[in-house]
Amino acid sequence: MTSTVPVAAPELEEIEGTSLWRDAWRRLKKNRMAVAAAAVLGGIVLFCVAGPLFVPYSFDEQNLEYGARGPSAEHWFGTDLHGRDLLVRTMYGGRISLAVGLAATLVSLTIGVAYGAIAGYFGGRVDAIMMRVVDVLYTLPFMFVVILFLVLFGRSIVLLFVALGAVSWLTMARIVRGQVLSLKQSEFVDAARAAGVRDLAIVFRHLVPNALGPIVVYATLTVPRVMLEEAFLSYLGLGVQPPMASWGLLVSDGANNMMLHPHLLIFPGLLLTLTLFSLNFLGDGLRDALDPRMRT
Amino acid sequence: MIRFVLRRILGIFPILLVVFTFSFVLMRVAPGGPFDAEKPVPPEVKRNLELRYRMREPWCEARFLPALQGVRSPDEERALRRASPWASRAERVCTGLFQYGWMLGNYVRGDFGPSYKYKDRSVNEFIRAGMPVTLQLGLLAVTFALGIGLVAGLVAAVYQNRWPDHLAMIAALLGISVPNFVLGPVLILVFSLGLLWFPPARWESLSHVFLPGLTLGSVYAAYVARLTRGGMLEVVRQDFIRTARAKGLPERLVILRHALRGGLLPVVSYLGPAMAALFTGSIVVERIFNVPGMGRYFVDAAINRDITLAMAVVMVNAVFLLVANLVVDVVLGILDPRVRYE
Amino acid sequence: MSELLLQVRNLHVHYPVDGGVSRAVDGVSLDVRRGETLAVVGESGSGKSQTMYGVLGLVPRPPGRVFGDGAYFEGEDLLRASERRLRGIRGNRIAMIFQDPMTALNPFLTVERQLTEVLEVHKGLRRKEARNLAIEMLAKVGIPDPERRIDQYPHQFSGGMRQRVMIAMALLCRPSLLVADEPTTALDVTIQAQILELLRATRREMDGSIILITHDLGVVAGNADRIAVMYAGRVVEKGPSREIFESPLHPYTRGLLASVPRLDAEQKAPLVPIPGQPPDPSRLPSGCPFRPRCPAATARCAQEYPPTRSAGPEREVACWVA
Repeated sequence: MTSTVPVAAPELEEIEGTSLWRDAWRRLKKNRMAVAAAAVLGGIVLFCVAGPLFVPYSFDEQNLEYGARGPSAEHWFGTDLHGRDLLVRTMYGGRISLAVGLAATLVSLTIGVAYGAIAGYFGGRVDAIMMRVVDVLYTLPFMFVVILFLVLFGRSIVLLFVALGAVSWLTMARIVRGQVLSLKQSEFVDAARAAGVRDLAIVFRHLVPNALGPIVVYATLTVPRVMLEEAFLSYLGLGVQPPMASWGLLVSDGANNMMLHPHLLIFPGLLLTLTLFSLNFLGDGLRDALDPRMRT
Repeated sequence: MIRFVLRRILGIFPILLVVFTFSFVLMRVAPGGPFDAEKPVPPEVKRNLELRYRMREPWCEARFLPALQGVRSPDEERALRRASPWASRAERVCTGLFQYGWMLGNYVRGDFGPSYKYKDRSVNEFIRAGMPVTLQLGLLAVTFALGIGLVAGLVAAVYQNRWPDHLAMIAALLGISVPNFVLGPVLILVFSLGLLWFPPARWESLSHVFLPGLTLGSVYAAYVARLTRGGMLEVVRQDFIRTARAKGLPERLVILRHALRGGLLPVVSYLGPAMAALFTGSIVVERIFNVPGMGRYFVDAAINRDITLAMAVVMVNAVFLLVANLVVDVVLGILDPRVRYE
Repeated sequence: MSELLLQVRNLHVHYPVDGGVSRAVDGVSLDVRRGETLAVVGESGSGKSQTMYGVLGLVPRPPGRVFGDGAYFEGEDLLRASERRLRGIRGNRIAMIFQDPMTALNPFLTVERQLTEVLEVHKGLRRKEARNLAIEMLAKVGIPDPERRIDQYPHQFSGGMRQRVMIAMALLCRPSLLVADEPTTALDVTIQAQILELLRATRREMDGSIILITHDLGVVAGNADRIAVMYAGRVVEKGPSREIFESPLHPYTRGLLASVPRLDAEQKAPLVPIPGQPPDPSRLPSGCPFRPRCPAATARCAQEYPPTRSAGPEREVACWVA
């Protein structure tokens, strides 16, 4: 319905502009599950980053005679087949898993935002072609190509997160494009264009910052996905190489020996699952807080 | 509608060509040859192998590096190539083009050639053996995913913000968060080794396929549940649902006739990309449960540098995915008249 | 002629919001006589549509809450009727048409399906019979070639044609009350006139009553017998159409009239918008909710809500100063 009575529009917009993030913050704080997820996540990060300082073992210190044993007072998580302390290996594994998750998300963020923003801003044929490419890429068996890539070109960590980031930008591109498409109708874009601001500057200085809400939400949800993919590749022996550890690699070791030594599977598996769960919960909470209308 | 389908079918071929070209280039530029890992063979044997797989093309050698034809030892060849790098490169590109054409021709005829690793078996044999298994596994997983996901999603939507909703959504989030390579071993630990309900591995009877199917399907069940709930809640907010209620329709008709179709559109659109994810997931699930499917062949092939087999698996998957997406688009068109009459 | 078809008494529709209650409808009383058109006028959010949703049981409950002294339709209190009973009345004896025919029709179903189901549910007809009646009705509301078009989907119709389909759908069961909720707002001006003409013809033919919900006084003129002006969930002024146009009593009604261009009289009178915005129904000001925007407000207006009082044989107004 439209009102016959004109309203004081500029005033209204200013109020909305400043209170969007504050409102979101308030809504997020009220979502107890999301707050709990954030706390758990903080605990896990602290555990992985600072934990090794308090454990008197190193991640590759072997004690072959000791071998794999269950949890004890000396080794809270037990030891693996080489007699290495599982607690400290889980911490180190977490560092790598989290680092890969963040780095690959940054790669996917960069590609996805740039691609989506450009497609959305220029629209028309450019948009149609760029989005058709995304549609096609969606249908392809990406992981297979990544695996082939890693096998053929060597299994380095840098290659790993570039490869993972390079295949997980598609949804981000779609989301950013949608946002930019609707935002570019706004008056502030007309104003910027009238003032002679160049296209690319409009895209990255005016449109992208205004689409930040959904970008943050989706980036938060990308981290667990990429971590999962890293773990997946490490599980197959294609990711992080021993004696380094990542959660995926530890779970793989655990699964191979689960009959005799279930603790090798349970501890890293639990921690990985808990991290992914918290990240997903936090992402959902952020989405509800920042944009209640946006749903997956 | 028919024109739409035909156009989409024609659209598949250029995509396949791109995938083919990409994996071919990947294979050509990868450092190291496919036979490096094996024990050293006499140069003549190696040369014959390379000729058989068209990694050498006599015509190209004669045209760009005629001196190469008399050379027998790898060291001599390396020295010769270093001496004339440009001719060497031209010879490689020429050979590559020949190999590309040759392989493409074979692929079009459905012949994927011999395996690099198991020289007495053709790639087609592997695919014929592995593909049905993987498809069965995938079908089972999709059945689980839709069965569990749709029910959970509908229940959650109907009881929005009440405990069945919260329960279903936490379960769904857990389903998304538990990696299948954690879930699979845990299921084996509990149901096969603990309770002895299901056999832990192999692929023989229905009881063998249950756990792998569940493991592979759980993530998708979770996504389907979330999409169903979201889709239904989105639709019941629409004006036309208010119209249906204002017409005095019983709630059953409002939901089943007016809401369900639109509410399920996101689920149907998701099934396309989900197929790709299913193939990926099957790599790990087949490994955990020792299922002789394409996923396992692929990883083994990749690690063994059995590139003809790996490439064929990628191509076959691509074909399946593109066809699955086409089917999804057609179903979307049937469900949504706005798409049909675009 | 003066028999009452619908009698709404002190109706409330409330929604819970963060730390309070949003009073979308806050004690509305309305009468609709047989054969008349009552226009319910007010800005967006004044509770016009919510009043009718409340009467018809279309308020989502929970979270909404509907209560009051009664909503009597042909002698039956709809506020206390069972959901099953209400379903039998909705679309049958009281039909609604909505603002935006683009979104109010189901895009996934053919027009035929959406029309015939009404007759199937309320009249127990079989689909074939229902289809014939539906085609007849489409022809009656001015849709050319109805035999062919009935099998099409809503998106294949133009906006005006879609609204005709909506009207046909509403008239299928020959309702005694038609609620038209902003029926022309989403349409082009020329189409608006056609749809209003169709509604006029419809009322003549079906001999029923119409409630015309609108924010546009231009639509009301010449189309309504009586007018009820709503503000912040309450009726602030009621009376025969002509009298309201000629001598509005409530300052809000005057403001509305001054902000609408008129062809008759006072050509030179400037258009004056009402300053400010309608109040948030969850945070109503004390006293009269119109006070903050009212040019004639006194100290008393801030303290007490003005009671509705009679202001002539058929007129009522709720204002301290009018």
